[in-house]
Amino acid sequence: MISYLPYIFSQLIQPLNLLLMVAGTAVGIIFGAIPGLSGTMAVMLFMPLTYTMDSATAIIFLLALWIGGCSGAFIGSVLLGIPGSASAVATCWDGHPMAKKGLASKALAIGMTASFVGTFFSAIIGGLLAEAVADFAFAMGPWEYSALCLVAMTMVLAISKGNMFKGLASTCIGIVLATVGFSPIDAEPRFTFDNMYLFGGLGMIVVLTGIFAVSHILVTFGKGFDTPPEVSKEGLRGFGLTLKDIKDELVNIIRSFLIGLGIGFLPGMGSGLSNLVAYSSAKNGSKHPEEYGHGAAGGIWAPEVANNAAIGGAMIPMAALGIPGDSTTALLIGALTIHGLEMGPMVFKNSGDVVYLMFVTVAVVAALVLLMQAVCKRWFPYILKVPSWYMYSALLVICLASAYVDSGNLYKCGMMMVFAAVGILMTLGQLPASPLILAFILTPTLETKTLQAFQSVPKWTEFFTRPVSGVLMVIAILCIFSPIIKPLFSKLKKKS
Amino acid sequence: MKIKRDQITGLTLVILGIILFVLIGQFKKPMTMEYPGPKLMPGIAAFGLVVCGAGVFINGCRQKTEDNVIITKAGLLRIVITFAVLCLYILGMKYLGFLIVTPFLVYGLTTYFAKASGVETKLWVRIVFALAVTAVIWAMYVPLFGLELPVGELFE
Repeated sequence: MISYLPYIFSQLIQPLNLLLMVAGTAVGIIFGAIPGLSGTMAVMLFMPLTYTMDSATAIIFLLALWIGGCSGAFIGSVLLGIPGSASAVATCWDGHPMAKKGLASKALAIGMTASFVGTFFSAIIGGLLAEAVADFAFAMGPWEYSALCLVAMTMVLAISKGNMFKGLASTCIGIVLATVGFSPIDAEPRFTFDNMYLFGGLGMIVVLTGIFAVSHILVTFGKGFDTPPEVSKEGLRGFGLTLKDIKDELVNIIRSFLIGLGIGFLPGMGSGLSNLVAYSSAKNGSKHPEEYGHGAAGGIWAPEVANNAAIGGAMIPMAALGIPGDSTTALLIGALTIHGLEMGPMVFKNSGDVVYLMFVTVAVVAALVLLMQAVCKRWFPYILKVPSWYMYSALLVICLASAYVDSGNLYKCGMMMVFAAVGILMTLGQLPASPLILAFILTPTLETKTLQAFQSVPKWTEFFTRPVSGVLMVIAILCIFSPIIKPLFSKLKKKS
Repeated sequence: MKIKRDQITGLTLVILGIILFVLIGQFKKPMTMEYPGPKLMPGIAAFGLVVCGAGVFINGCRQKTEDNVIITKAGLLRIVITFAVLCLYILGMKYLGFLIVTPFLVYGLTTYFAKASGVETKLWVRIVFALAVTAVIWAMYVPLFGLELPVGELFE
């Protein structure tokens, strides 16, 4: 890694890269802070802008958007009691009560510092561990890889709330969309209807922006925009946190960090789960659990450290295995492929400099986010007051411009509207979105590896007779049936 | 008997799965136990859709009460109108280009969004906003990042 430091340093001090890092971080924080928007959406919308950039510049910009978005999510949770994204749900439970007590400045300072601690240290650990994981992955054949992809696709089902069938159906829709175009290895056209625009596949931007961004905006409008909230600007001066505050929560911080890092590492899971698990662990481990839910500092530290620690955790399987840890890393894998970087074990041999640049960028952006948030804290209420009618009309134009830029023709803009309709129907049918993203991104790898596996040994049973793939297949099956298994276990527990 | 939302969702998924099975049947390369070929993934998805659709449908039948309304009829109408406007915008871009059509779209959408939300906004603010959004997006995509936006067939 040390041999790459001159390259990394030279990239980070380039004026354009610095400028894009600052701009990406600022945009990311704004997207993260506003409920309804997210860092994932920021990455999705601005990805086409990177097409003309070199890979290092593109990575710096996209990572800045992502990290800014993850870190900004707590702002809405603290000041409004509405999470900026799913990763900051638990932050609401103590962040907003603390703000209502007149301690908004302290709550925001905890959020900022916790975000920094989680992101910065997880990036360092991720950077140190990723290559070792990649070395281990070299021993994996196509059977094991296929099984790992399956685990990533099914793990998200294990945590999806509500109906198991709906989560699986969403996965199946993602698989179908990913199979449009020529099939890998056999080059057979599938679902193309002799349409030349479909031969190359549907395209990530068109599908994901249509289903998630455009449909989300339309559905939000259909439900009715919220009027801009009244947020108190009082008491937002100064940093609001002392070293003693950090010392008091040190055990909580370390525990939450490890929870976040571990959950982030698991394929298919991410900050959406880690913040909830860390919160409940902090509450259970606290000497004063009765204070939780009423503005306890530990209730902000735990989810914010954990959801940001999931970033570094998610980057390990992303870089070393090419398997996304969550929806955003799934998008990033797609974006990096466009820039010629095929994530997976070989990436450390082929483009080790760029991979380590990723980890260092995340650590640098974490520090930049802390600095920007500390300086701009008093303006946070204004971010939350952006009227929806202005914001969403501008975002719709960006969505359509992205679709055009992605393909260079208006046909894809029309196709994006079709997927927006699909997204609206999915919302009406209450089908979850995350399984679709993961399935759409992972299916090409899963299919290619599976077919390669059959070319090497033409037996289905290999999936279960090989030790690693066998274990992974069992995990995948357990994940699929976990919504049935979990209630059975809890019933048995109650009986005993 | 009132049809429940999950019943419609389930039925739609089953129909989608069946259509997929028909389309997969038209692929030339056969699926064998030794090599599943291009039918494998779509086949799994189609099977999954039929099974999950049936599951969602059965769950819907077992539901005693319907969940809350997700979007009201008025809300759906708002979505349809916005959707239609966006489709017209794409058509407009095809002939007139991004720079001419976008200010009209942004102005129209901000006006419609604000009115539907029961908010009064100033005319000049909407006009300035529409022009500014168009200019900023165009500047960001075209001169700054060297990308292309539609110029319109009439001006090509």
